[in-house]
Amino acid sequence: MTILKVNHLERIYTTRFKGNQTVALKDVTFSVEEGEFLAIMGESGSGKTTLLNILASLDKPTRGEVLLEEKDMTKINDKDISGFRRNHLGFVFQDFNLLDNFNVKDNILLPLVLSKKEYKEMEVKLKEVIKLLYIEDLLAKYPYEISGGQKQRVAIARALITNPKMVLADEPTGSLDSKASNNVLDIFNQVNNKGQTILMVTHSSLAASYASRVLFIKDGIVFHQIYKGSNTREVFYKKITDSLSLLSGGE
Amino acid sequence: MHQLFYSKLAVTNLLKNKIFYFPFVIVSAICSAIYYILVALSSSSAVSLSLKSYRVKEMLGFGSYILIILSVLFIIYANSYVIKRRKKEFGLYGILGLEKRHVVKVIGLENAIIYVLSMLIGSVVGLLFGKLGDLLLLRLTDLEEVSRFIFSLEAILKMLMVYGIIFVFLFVENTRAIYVSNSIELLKAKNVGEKEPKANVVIALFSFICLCCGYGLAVSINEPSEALLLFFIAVLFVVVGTYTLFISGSVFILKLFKKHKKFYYRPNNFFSISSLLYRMKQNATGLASICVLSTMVVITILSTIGLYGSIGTMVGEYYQFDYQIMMFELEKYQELVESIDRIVVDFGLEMKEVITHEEVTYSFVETKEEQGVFYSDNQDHGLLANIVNTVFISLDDYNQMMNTSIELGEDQVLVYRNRKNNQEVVDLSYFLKDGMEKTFDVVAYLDELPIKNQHDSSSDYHTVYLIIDEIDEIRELFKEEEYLDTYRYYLVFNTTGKHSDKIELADSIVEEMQKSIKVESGYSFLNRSSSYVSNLSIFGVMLFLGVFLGIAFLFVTILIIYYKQISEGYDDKERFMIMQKVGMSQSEVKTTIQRQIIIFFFLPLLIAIVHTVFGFKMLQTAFQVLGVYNSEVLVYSGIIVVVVFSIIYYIVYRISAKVYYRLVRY
Repeated sequence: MTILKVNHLERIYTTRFKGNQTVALKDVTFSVEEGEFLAIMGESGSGKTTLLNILASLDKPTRGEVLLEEKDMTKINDKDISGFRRNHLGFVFQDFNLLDNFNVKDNILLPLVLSKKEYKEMEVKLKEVIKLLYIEDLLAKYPYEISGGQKQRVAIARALITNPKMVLADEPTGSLDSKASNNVLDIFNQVNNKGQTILMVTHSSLAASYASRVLFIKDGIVFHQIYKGSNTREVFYKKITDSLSLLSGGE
Repeated sequence: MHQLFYSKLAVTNLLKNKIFYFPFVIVSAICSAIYYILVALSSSSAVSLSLKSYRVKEMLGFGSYILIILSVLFIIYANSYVIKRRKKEFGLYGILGLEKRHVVKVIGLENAIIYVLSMLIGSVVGLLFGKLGDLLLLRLTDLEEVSRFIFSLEAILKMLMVYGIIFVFLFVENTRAIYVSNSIELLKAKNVGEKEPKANVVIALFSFICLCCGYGLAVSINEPSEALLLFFIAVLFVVVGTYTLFISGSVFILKLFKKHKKFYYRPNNFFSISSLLYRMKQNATGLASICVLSTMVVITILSTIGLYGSIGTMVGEYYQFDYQIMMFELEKYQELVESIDRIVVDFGLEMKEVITHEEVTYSFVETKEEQGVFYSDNQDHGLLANIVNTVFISLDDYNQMMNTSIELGEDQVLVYRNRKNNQEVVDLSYFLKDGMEKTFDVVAYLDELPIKNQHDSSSDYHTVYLIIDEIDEIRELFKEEEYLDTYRYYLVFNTTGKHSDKIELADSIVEEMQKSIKVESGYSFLNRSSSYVSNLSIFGVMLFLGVFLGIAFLFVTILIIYYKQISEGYDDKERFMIMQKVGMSQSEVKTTIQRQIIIFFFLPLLIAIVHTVFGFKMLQTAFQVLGVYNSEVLVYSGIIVVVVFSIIYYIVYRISAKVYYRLVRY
């Protein structure tokens, strides 16, 4: 089943002094199947951040539509957009974005609190996610007391606790060392294996090699895509780096 | 060219940081303007020409010193806030290749610009409101000299000098701050997380107990004479209680809320409680100081208004007549009574209500009383408390003064005692020594004397007034206890005329007594008008100072909260950004912010108002010492002061909330 459909997305930024137009996205079309782990790669300036912002409904496209389970996200009015994001999407960021005045437990519960859930329900869900992410011992700690990898796991727990239709991850390993990166990516794999749809934006080939499919964006269009299929991760990684050199070689 | 670069940089910096520097300039301008007004007034000809107003001059000078202290504290405090905020910017300069001395140069230029701006605005405001202040002061104190207050060069120079010194000190402080820091350190964001404050149950409990003690004391004081000492104890309790309450009590309460899961995990409470917990750690002492300061400002203004508004009552309570003369020599007294009419008429005024009467006063040394029986215990206690004054007033005089026609039988008396708590007994007996024994049959106890406070019946002395028909018999009986002041002759009367006329008349009566009648063994002369006028000038200046210093204090206090709020804004910016990223809407952010700021802003005010309400009872009792029993003036001025204070506070809250929201908006 297709969970996300992106049709002919275009985003043009117009500078304040008229005339200068920057095309961030020209014509992007792709779809994400339920339970898929999709990685989107591209160099800086390729438009991948713009794409992610639009998918996260932080930005609106100039043209085109984004259908999350048949519902056009670009048409939701501003009043409902926060609630929609909170209930349907989970976010993982490069710099974790944990609140330093909340302990780990409260950071994870934050989206549920905002959705005014009952505390009992919160507790049940909390138990599920902390087990999944191996952070049972961290609950009472504060973000500044734990390592980067642990922070990212907490952030993933926060993203998962609302049972989102899709998790959007923006360079989730960007601030981590390789060991912590592998750990976080393993977790993404595990979560994905349980049926969670994940869309990850990254420029790390290693990170992308954990995905089941990789989209390459260049100059505002989907330039190329490769599937992992039955390849091992090492082979897939090789394919990705080859594609990348092809991508930059095309200039 | 170089010079231009630095000036340009300085101006840009100031504009860039205008949310800090604009209020800074405004408040230092207000402080300097008030300083100018106080100095100018105290040196103005109107004030110094008036002989009676030497205290006015002194008090204004005193006020200006308080203002200097306030200004120093405020300017240093505000500056430290701004510099802390800008440390990163200084670090960046270093990295960009500006040497430290160049940065110092820029900072120096900035300080100079702020100084010039503040002084410019301060002088203009000072000159504009100086005239107004002058009129207000003359109006309040009833000084009649024509005012010539327009411009005082001396005051301007003094203002420039005092604030110049403060700003030079500021510059030195900033230079030091720049030199001790290194660029890398300055650039590093202070993103080290902070631990959640711990709740100390003992201190929290201690704060509640302190507040309860303070409040309890304030409410339970009924005896005016105790008020002063207990007042300080109560204030001490409340101040200690306030600080510990903010530091530990607040954390304790918030933690309790946090433990209540169902309550804590609601969107509004969730953010308010956790952010307050953090703010309390950094700002508890600041908020407590603001609370104590606010209470002080309100109480000070309140009491000066109360004092001023009660002058009439106060003087009326103490003086029932315009003139009250008391003498010991019968012949000189009679001479005065005969000539008083002529003196008054010669002066151009008219006599009204004249009463002449006499008292016979015995002070029985080392006397004790038990159940209405007075006896000499022949022990030297050396304490005033063992003296019982007994004052005899003849029934004829009493009837004349009260317009009554009471008759008393043999040994029957009417009694008035200045110590109300003493038991009222049917018989009063004196057993002093052989031959000096007498028992009186008390017909009635009086609620008040015909003329209150006739002589200084200070409550330290235990005094019994006996109104008796056969006063000559008493004289015979207590002959051995007679002293120079045993016989007291009174002349009390009113006249027509204004206060100033009455004061002059009083002066000429005194002159007459000394020159023509040649009174030798002392006398007392009470003049209601001169007391009224001197009270008016003292309390008038106090009110004047109360209002002006109150304004300065108010602005400084509020500015400190403003700064606190704004610098919180910088820290919170990131936090709110994250909240929005994980699904908080703009309107939710707005309500969260509002809740936080309201609690942060109004908690000190609320507690200050509670303090004031409890302190009010105390103020009332203290005012009774001054003879003010009617507290209507106090109640009204209290309400007005609190309302005005709250309104100004509210306005600044609105401004801060707006600036804050603009800062954290994503």
